[in-house]
Amino acid sequence: MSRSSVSLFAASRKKVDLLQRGLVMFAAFAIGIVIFYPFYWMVMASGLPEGSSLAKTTVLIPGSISLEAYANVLLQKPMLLWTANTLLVTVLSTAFVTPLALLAAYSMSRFRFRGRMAMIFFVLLTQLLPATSVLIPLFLVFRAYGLLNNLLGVTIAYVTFLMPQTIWILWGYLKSIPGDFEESAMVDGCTRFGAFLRVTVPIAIPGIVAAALFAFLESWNQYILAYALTSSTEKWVVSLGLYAFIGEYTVLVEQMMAASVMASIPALAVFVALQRYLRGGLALGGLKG
Amino acid sequence: MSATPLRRRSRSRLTQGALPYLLLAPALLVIAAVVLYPMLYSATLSFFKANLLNMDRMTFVGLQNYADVLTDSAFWRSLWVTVQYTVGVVVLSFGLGLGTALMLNVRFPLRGLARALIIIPWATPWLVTTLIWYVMFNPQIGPINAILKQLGLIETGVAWLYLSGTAMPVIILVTAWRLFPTTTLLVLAALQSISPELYEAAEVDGAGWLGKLRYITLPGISATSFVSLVLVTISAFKLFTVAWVMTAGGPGDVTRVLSVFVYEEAFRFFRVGPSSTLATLLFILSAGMVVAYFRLLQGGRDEPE
Repeated sequence: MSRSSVSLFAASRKKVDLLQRGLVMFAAFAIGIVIFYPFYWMVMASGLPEGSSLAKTTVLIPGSISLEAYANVLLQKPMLLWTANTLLVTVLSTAFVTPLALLAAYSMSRFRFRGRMAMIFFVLLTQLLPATSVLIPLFLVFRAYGLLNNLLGVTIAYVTFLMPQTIWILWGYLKSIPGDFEESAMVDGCTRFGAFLRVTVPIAIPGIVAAALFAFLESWNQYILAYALTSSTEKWVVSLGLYAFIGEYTVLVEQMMAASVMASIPALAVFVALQRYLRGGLALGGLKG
Repeated sequence: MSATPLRRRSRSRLTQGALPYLLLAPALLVIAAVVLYPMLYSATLSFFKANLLNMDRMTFVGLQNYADVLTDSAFWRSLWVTVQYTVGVVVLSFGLGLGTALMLNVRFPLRGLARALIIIPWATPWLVTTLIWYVMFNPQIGPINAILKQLGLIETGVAWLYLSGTAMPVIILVTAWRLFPTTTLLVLAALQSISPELYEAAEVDGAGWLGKLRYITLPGISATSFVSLVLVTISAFKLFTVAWVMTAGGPGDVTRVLSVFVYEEAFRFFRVGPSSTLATLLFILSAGMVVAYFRLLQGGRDEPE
């Protein structure tokens, strides 16, 4: 008797499961459309013959396909130079911010020292502050040091604004690694810092890569800092070039979308290459306390 | 034998000394030079009247700028707009993030692909995201009006970005669309770390779908949810790009969030005094929010370590 009741229960469960799965698939499909349609539309619009989206709105299937917009962006705008500038600034600031943040995160995760809470407060505060609120003093200070209209200046500004977030990610990750390994390395004669470099850093590689990936994407994203600090177009990063499309007399939709595709590709490529580190590398310790 | 760990501990404490400060120094120096110093400079400027295009002629005005800003209804309006924007983005992106995480935790065909693809909006540059939606919402050429017309939901094109009723919802939608994948990622990781035995035990006890959600799933992801709420709040609070590019704060001041407000004062009206005053007030507001965050953590089960 008990056996039949169990199988009955199992049957109804299976039906519920099937229904649930169907609903989930339907919802996933609907959400999938909302998430991916904008990408589809960007790529599609970038491949339309120039001017055709002004004449008629294309929703799904383009009437004809052309690479005109890409050719025109590359020929008429210094798109490659902007991309090179962005790549330079992004790689440099990621390369600077990651080791500096790693040291800071190590200090915060392994030591109890006076002023530690103040430090945590300070880092969070910096992260919360809108970049636009320091633009004027930043502009004036950078002008005084001749760092305006200079990619080095842009890099310095990026490094700073990336610092809090990079420290958080690395701090959280380092906290998830027990200090025992370092201690046994110290018993074996390593210095404190040597133990960190030789033992903890190799274990922390996924977290370090995840933090660097965040930093890379974040600086690829940057717009307003570069906007305030550079004026001549040959010093622009790619997001400034994109924004300039809006200011033009007629909005060239196809070109704008073609430039958007080109500006997304490096960020997406780096993201896809390093994505597997993202899941393992994001320990939550940092903010959770 | 038992003396060894004791000695070791005391040794490490002795050698600690200046090391933690030395390790922090480079990061702190950079932040101090590029954020703290400008902030203090800004705080100084907030007591002066000056024009950005002619900084040699500054006049000390004491607290006049603060009096002006704090009695200016535009400031309070912008603060309120920022609250609307932040809350809207946090609610929508958290809802989307939680919903998608719960979905991706159920087994279905192509789940692996869906899990990989869902993060893509987050990896797209902000400006690209904003431009795509800017064109899509365009009343003449954008596909959104075309789709809604075909579905029979609207009869004539809606100027989404130029109407006071729709501008804010649109920029909230765009921002949430870009931000929600981090929540999905974090919540999904938390869901996967809940032991399946808990669910089995609950089923044995006769708990239904809702009961399991209420007593196992939600408690299991509450800490992570808190983290992602904080992260999204931080991002939305300071965000400039979407409100600036899509609506330039308009129509009127409907979407003029504080980051746009302070920017316009400085680089559109060149008013250094009020702009610096705003920046200083924002700094104080941010500090207040961090204090509130610490209080929340301490009210919870643990304090920040």
